[in-house]
Amino acid sequence: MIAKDTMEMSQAEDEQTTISDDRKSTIAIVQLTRFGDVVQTAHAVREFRNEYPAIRLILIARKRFAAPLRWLLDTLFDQCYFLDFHQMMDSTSNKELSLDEICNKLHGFVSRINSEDINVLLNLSFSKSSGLLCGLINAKNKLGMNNDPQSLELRISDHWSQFVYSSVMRGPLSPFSLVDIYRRMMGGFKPVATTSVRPKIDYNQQKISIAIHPFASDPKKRWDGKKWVEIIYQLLKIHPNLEITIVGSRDEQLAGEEIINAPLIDNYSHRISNMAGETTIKELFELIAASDLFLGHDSMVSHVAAYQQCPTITIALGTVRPHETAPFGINNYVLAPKTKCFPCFPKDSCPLYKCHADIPFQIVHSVVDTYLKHGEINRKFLEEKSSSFHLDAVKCYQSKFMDTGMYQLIDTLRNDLSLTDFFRLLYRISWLYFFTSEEETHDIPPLGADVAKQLPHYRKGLQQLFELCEFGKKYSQYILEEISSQTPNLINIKTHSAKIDEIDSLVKVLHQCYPHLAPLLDYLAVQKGNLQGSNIVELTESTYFVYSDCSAVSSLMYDLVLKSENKVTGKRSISQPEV
Amino acid sequence: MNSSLEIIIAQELEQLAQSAVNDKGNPRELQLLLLKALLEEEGKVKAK
Repeated sequence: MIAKDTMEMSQAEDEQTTISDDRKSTIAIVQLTRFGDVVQTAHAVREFRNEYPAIRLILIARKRFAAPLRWLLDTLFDQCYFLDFHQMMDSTSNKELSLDEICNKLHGFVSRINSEDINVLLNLSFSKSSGLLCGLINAKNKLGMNNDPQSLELRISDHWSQFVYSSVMRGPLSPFSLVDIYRRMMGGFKPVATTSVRPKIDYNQQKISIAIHPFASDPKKRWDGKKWVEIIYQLLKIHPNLEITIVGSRDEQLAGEEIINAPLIDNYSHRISNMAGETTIKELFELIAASDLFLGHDSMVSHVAAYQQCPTITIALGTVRPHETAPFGINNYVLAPKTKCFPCFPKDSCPLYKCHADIPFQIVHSVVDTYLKHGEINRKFLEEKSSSFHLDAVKCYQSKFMDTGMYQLIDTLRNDLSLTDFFRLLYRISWLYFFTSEEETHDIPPLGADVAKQLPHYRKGLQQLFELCEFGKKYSQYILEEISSQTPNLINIKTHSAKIDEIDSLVKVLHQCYPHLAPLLDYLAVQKGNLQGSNIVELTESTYFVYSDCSAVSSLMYDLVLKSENKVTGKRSISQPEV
Repeated sequence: MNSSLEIIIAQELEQLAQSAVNDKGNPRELQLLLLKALLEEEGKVKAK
């Protein structure tokens, strides 16, 4: 048996039953990861719902991360299935459950889902368990990671999921917000409908309220409380009409108390309160909606603020990739360090937390002060309050939506692009064009001498990749020709196949020589690992198309690099890579 | 808490791998792999 609350019909569905349409298509979304991911999924689904109100939507999520958001999820989904791991493992008696009993509970959960007529099963979580669960669920079509129920092999067949698997949370070069990726994976992408710009704060209003979440799930992603005490002290001292509420979970309550009881802010204790652990998640949503500004780290609470269209200023540290997970919405601001090792990986050990020190607390105060007084942040305003020394240490991004409707972070301080920034932009243009045939308008960015110097090297790398892919296409074609001949020669097929293996090992070498080509090379590897077909002809055709895709992207990137080089050198000619 | 369960799952998976070389697609195997993955992920969440 499954716990009643994991089985019960949502209120939203009960209400919709009266207008139910048997012909409705059903999309089931699997999101087994944490609170923040569930909130970002909700954000994407809200947009999807506006476009397609008639489609029946199902959510499959972990109870521990989704049940506290039930009140919100019920407004977006027709039915929610919550996987209750603890209920599945625990027996109501003191006797431990046998493996068979646990498997029976799991089977019961999956059977409930399988009673649905699912047109598309969409896995938005990239965890091992989500792929395996998708293998057990019946659906006419499956998108995202899923294990084949027959071979048990992991399959990722759609472009966006292959992109996520090869680029997201890997390096610093993924250019898209997760919410946008989710929206693209759902399909029917249209410019954001629900995000609006709040009117500028009237600085002279009686009370300005800021919700601060000075915490994050990982110590790498959050500052020490003392640094927050400095910021809060400065804010309360300079702005007499400011009231601050610390928000967070029960686990963060004590740390919140330490901040508000710090001797430095003793004189202002009547204007600061600690609500960490004092609110339900629903109350947290309401509290943030009523705030004039959210300030904090990249965490689930920052996504709540974005969902509630509360202006945000977030500080990205450690493993945070702001281009992927910054609060989704217009005119949100993100401060990020220029530290070389930023962003790092969860597994990286870091005794120094250099990126924490690289954002001075003074700049955070200047940014908040500027936002409160001017309603926007730009270099000119910040230069009035901060030293060049402080400004040069950080990046300050502002979020906007581009002509394609895609979310983008723009550097308000107009720093010269680093090689990483430049390649992230190249990937953005290239992936978007490749996946959707949409062209996003960007000016060719001005490049510093250091970056310009490296472009010929990378252009050479793209040329080599292009050539390898063209060879890959050629040998795939040879195999197909051999197979279709009247007397196919197995030795010839094996020789051509060996050439393809050789090409793949040469592609791996490019990884070492051109680290900024890693997303494209990884994408090629993921595509090659997910060839379509069940016989040698289909698999070879699929191989041909994979090389063809990579050849097209590398050719496009080659052109963009050359254009940027020409801008630096003042040349006009443009050429294609040639084999 | 679950270490014994993890061992039992691993043992049964091994048995299935040995006995069903040509009999892929056993839903029990997929269920066991899912349970194993859930246990691992739960351990990581707890470690945080």
